[in-house]
Amino acid sequence: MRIDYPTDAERDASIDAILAAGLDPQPALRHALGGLYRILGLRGMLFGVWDCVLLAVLLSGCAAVPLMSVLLSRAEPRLLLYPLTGGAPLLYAALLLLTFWKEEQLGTRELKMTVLYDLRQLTALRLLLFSGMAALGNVLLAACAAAFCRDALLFAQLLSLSLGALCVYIALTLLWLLRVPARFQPVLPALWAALCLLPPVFLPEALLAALLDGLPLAGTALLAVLAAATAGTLLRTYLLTYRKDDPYAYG
Amino acid sequence: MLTVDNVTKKYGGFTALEGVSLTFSEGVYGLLAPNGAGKTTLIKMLTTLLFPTSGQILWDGTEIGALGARYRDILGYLPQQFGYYRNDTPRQFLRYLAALKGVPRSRTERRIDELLSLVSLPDAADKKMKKFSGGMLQRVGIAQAMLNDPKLLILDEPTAGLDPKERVRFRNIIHALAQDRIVILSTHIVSDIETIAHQVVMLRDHRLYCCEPPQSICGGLRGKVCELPAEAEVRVPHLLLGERQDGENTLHRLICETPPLGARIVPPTLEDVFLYVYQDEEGGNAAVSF
Repeated sequence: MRIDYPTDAERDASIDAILAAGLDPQPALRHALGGLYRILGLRGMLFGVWDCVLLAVLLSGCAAVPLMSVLLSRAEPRLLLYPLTGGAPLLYAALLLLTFWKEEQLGTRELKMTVLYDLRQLTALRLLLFSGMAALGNVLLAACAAAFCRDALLFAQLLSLSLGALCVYIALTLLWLLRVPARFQPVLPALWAALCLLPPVFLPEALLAALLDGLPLAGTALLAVLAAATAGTLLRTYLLTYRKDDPYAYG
Repeated sequence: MLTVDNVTKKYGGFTALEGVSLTFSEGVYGLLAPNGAGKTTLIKMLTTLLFPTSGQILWDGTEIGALGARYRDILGYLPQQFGYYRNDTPRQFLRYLAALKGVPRSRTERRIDELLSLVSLPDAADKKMKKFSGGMLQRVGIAQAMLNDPKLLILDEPTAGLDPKERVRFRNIIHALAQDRIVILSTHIVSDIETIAHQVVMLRDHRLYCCEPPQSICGGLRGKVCELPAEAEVRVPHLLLGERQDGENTLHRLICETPPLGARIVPPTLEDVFLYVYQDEEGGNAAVSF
């Protein structure tokens, strides 16, 4: 008796049909978050934490304005490079920590972890929003500094360095969220602040500024792009991957 | 159907729950145990806030962690510490949670009105929750748990801090909600579940002690619970359950294998069973066992 084996096309179609019946297709990140945004809107995303957003913006402004005034009063505008690079994630970190803290204090965290669009999805959406807000803040600061110094190159340097630092911090935040229990969330910004404060202890600020000034613009821009891509991948992992060991590092 | 299959939860060297196996189908289940027995740990595992160290929890045969959002879609949960936004009204808060629970916008307002009427808060729908009493907040909590018409409703110590009138109101609400769904009610207050639970789950020493109807649980002490005047001397081993006033006399209620002379045998209650099962060996007399 002759048995006709299936062709390659028939075999592949059968495998696809079996997999499609057995597996839930992973949605694209933009579809998953876009769908949630259409349901909640901006008001829903920040429901209950608008005061945290306002406080973070005020705190960042209060820290940035005097710092900029002091730095801009110095003769050498390149000295702006190091402190603005290190402080680039300030608004982002403040937004994240304050909203985490408020949800924890009010007790809404636990409840939101058990709903259809859970706190993990909401957090992912907020991370995107906060990243955009922080990036906008960095652009404004860089533009103000460059306008004051009348130096277009300075704007490009400040922008690429601060956005690169911001993207690296965002990627670190996502890695931290995936690996570290919620109660250790404040450790990352503390570590970042300590790392930023240490170099001036061993090297003069002018030397640090000169080192940063010497970095190729294309290199720092590439770093920002790579860090942003890494952050995007980590965001997808955070949002879409089911993990049994500790599914809720936060939320 | 919700199945807990030989679930153990350990935190380092401490075992919070060990080898618990249960099956829940439609009806009200009372999860009864004293503080620290593992009720909240079990509740948190049923609501995917924690994962078991070993064993699994299944919904219609599929592990609930793997179901993910599909399981959360049929789940309604009222945590022990119910969090809310103080400056919002119940209507605003429920509208927000309805969005998070996937309730279609076209149905949200009607659903909110229905639930606020069910929990007797229609007149407070647009008042800020910072002015609410504890009982009112718990009722908002029940309303939010019901927004998505869950097949599985889990309430963790929902009557803690409520006055007797609120607890009675709460029992009536749960009784009304129990049709066509699984309701799991965790409490250490026996009267909360004595009349509404069709099965009572008791935990002891971090293990399952029993899962039976209240009448069956009480039946184990039938003939052993009695009342006698407080001044009467009891020479047989016994466990004092409490006392009550009968006119000018004070009566003691106790458990003993053979009721002493002059004692009147009374039907055992779930509270008697609770006190007997969870009697404290260090608090006074050695544990009494029959």
